[in-house]
Amino acid sequence: MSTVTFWIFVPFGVSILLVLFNRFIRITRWIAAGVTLGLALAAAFVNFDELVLLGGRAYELSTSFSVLGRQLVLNSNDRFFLVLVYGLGAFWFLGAPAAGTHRLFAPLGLAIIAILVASLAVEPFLYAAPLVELAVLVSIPMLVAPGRPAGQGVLRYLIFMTLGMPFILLGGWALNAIEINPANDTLLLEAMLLLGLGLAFWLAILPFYTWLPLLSGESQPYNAAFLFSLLPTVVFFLMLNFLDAFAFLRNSPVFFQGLQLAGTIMVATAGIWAAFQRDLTRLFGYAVIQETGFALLAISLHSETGLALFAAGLVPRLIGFGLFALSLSVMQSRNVSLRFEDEGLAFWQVPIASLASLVAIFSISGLPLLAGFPVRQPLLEELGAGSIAVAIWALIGSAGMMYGGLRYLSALFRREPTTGQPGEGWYQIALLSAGVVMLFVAGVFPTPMISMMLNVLSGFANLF
Amino acid sequence: MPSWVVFILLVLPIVAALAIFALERLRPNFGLAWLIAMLAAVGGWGLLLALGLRNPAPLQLADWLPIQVRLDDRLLLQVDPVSWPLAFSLAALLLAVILTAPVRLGQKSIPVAWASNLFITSIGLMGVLSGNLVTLLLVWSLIDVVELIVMLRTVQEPRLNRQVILAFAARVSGTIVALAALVVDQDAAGSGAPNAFPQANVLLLLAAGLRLGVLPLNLPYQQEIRMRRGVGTLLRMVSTATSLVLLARLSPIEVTAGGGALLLVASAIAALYAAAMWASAANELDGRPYWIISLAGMALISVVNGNPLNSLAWSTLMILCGGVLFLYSGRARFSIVLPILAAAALSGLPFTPAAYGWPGVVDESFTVFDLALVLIPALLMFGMIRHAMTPGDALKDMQGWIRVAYPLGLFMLVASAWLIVFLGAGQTLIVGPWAVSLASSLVAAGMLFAAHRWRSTAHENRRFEWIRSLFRVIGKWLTSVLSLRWLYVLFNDFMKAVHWLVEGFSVILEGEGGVLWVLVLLALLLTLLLPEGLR
Repeated sequence: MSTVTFWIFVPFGVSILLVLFNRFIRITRWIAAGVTLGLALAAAFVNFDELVLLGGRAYELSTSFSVLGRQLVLNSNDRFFLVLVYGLGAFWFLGAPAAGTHRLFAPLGLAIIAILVASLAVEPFLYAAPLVELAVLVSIPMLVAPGRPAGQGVLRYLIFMTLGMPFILLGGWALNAIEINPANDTLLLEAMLLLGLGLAFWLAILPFYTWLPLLSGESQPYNAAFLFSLLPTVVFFLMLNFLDAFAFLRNSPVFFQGLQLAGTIMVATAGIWAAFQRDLTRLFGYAVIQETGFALLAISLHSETGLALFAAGLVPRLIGFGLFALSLSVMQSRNVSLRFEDEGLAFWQVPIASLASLVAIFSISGLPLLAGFPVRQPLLEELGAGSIAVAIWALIGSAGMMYGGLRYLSALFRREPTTGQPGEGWYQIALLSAGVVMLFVAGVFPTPMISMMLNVLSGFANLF
Repeated sequence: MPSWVVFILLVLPIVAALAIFALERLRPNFGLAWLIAMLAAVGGWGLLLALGLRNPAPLQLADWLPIQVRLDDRLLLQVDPVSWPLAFSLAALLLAVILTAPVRLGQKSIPVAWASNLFITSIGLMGVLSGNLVTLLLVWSLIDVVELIVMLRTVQEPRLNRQVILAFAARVSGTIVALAALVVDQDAAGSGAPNAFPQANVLLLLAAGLRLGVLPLNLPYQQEIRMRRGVGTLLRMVSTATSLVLLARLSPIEVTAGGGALLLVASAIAALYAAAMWASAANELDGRPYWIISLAGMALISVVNGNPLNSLAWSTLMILCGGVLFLYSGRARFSIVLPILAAAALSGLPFTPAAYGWPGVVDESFTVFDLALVLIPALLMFGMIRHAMTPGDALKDMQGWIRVAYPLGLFMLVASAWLIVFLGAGQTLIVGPWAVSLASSLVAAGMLFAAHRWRSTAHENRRFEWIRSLFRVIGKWLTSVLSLRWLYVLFNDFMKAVHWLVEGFSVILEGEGGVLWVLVLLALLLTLLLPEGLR
């Protein structure tokens, strides 16, 4: 038995079966949720280095698997990453019935998770690029509902993601060349530039993020948010893998300065743009950009605290995106307009969804009392220790997002109250309420959440 | 004294509130609910009185974050000479609200409202007892959210909703400025230990000023929202007290002469304008936002002058003297004594509570600017007496126990003002700059006399009607200038221009040629940022 079989091939095989039976939409959603939840729990409790007892018999788990001369490796260091990614999958699939996602969401979502796990497991890492590209291609039918034409956002997403692949491959080629000729500084810089550009395309770093607001406006918000939370998480871990593996990269001040500059511009521009949006889906797009920017800023600190803050930020981001996307989907499913001009009725038609989206926006913006704050504020202070200007621009970005939230709040209460029952179903109410409560609890008592997330850094021994 | 006493102080009102909620659900009993609320309020007030004599150890709930950061990440609550006067004032206000509640039975003073009062006070106590900025920021947000929910549930008109949201936005802006203070404060890096309250004092001053509505003057509530007297008063005072505690905790501010003068003038204009509006308000409830701004302005002036501890005198008097008037709904001939006693406490005459506040506002070299400051308490006292003399609900028609509890509640407020200066380690009974306080009191007395005279000779004043009209026009003009609405219109225009720019960029980058523009931008960035060898 191999860990690769369990955490890559099994979910991928299940996803193929689910695609074949995609008409049974309820069953596929629950199976996908069950499989991901089971794999997350298994990763949490099974020790890869010990014998596994199953039905009274002991089995040894091998941690590598050879495919066409390449190795797929999932060892103990990857356990918490597997918990994170499959937990993330379970989180999204459990919410799918409430969001009313289309029939391909769960099957393709499961396939994307398996492929992205493979991209992290593959050695040499160069082959991660085609696997990420494969995940992007699989995600297209998930983003475009069956029978609908692809919009401009989806096309741009495909263009930019595809452009990322050759840069990563070329970067890998340059890295191989460096191994032969380590004294060649130009080659070092070229490798760094190529890898940097590749990662910039994949993470939608400035100026390649224009597809994000477009895509969030075109696709079903829940499907888009699934991708927005999964893809950057995996790509960030790929980046940390690069940093962990290549000393010249992690010792390069230029690389980290570049991350900081890109992160600052992303956070500030996304905040300023968010402040003036009049459409919730676009506001969501800018929230995604800002979160990516903050993650870049955390890594750019080039310190143990910075990495800890990056890891700590994963959960508030996940809950925030999930809650935001679910409330948008609920509103859409009840034919409530997501434009601010028409939001006056939203509060009276879907009160819990509209308030949940508001709480999500404020959490993402880092308002005290909500989950984003315990991570955001220390990060700003750490940034301020290096450069006050960077910290202030990042704070301006946060303030812009809060201003966007305030404008939405104002739009919600613009009309006379009307009476009637809330439009949400009980499962939707339960999930939305749970999301709001989680954001508040994580905002006031962040220690358990952060302590748990710090484990995902255990695989990066060279970074500290 | 052990630190868990602080915990009891916070939990007691919450437990009582929950008990009242449960009672209302299971077996409604009006008298028992009031008794529970009253016992909790008396318990809290008594406990704080004891804590004033002997401060307990700080209550540290937890190290908030499991990672090493520059932030002082403790959740810290402490009773000390700074927090105690404000906490005691809030406890006294709660006690007064509960004791006077039976008078307002006809105005929906119901057990659920008393439970809300207990809950709100508990949050307020948490705020004023905050031992560092992180704890305070969390409480600020909690109060903002609670106030937003309460207000939005109270009002039903879109126009009033807008005011509520504007007030929330102003408070959130104050929170953002406080966050900026944490970011800018880099002293921790030098000394090794993070500061409980950052050294970026001007930013913290601005943060508190924004939340209080003083710096810059902002009055989101153009029209006072009608709320229950008890809940409305407590909510306003709790929210304000948690901002005022920050002022008292600031170390003396170091600003440039120009910056200091600007802050002083801005605070003084806000305080003077608000005092004038308070004095001329239709009634005490309509004037409530102005009362708060005016006294908060005095507290700010103390801080800008480098005397943050003196600001506590104005802060506590805002809660206690204001409380007397805002809860003064039942009126009888004898009860006017209580607002007069409250006005006396505010006068600043020797050995009154405000005598400790005056040295923070004026120094020995008396200037023309100080003359303007003399007018502020004068207008406030004049307004107090004026509003107290208007007719209210008749107290004599009420039951005997209510006629005892009601004045007792108001008296507790006035008594607490004196108790603070008797017992508090931070404030003491002093003579103070008696000439200034005497001048202020005389001006107030003069205004009262003039107003009385004007009213009593109303029939003879017709020929001077033009003077009245002239004053009205000048007043209107001054109001429009001093309320800074013109500044907010300018700001709005600026935001519209930024909006236009943002929309323009979005259209370019997301339009048909967007991909090309992105590549051009990339080329530009690479040209600017790449090291020479790679260009």
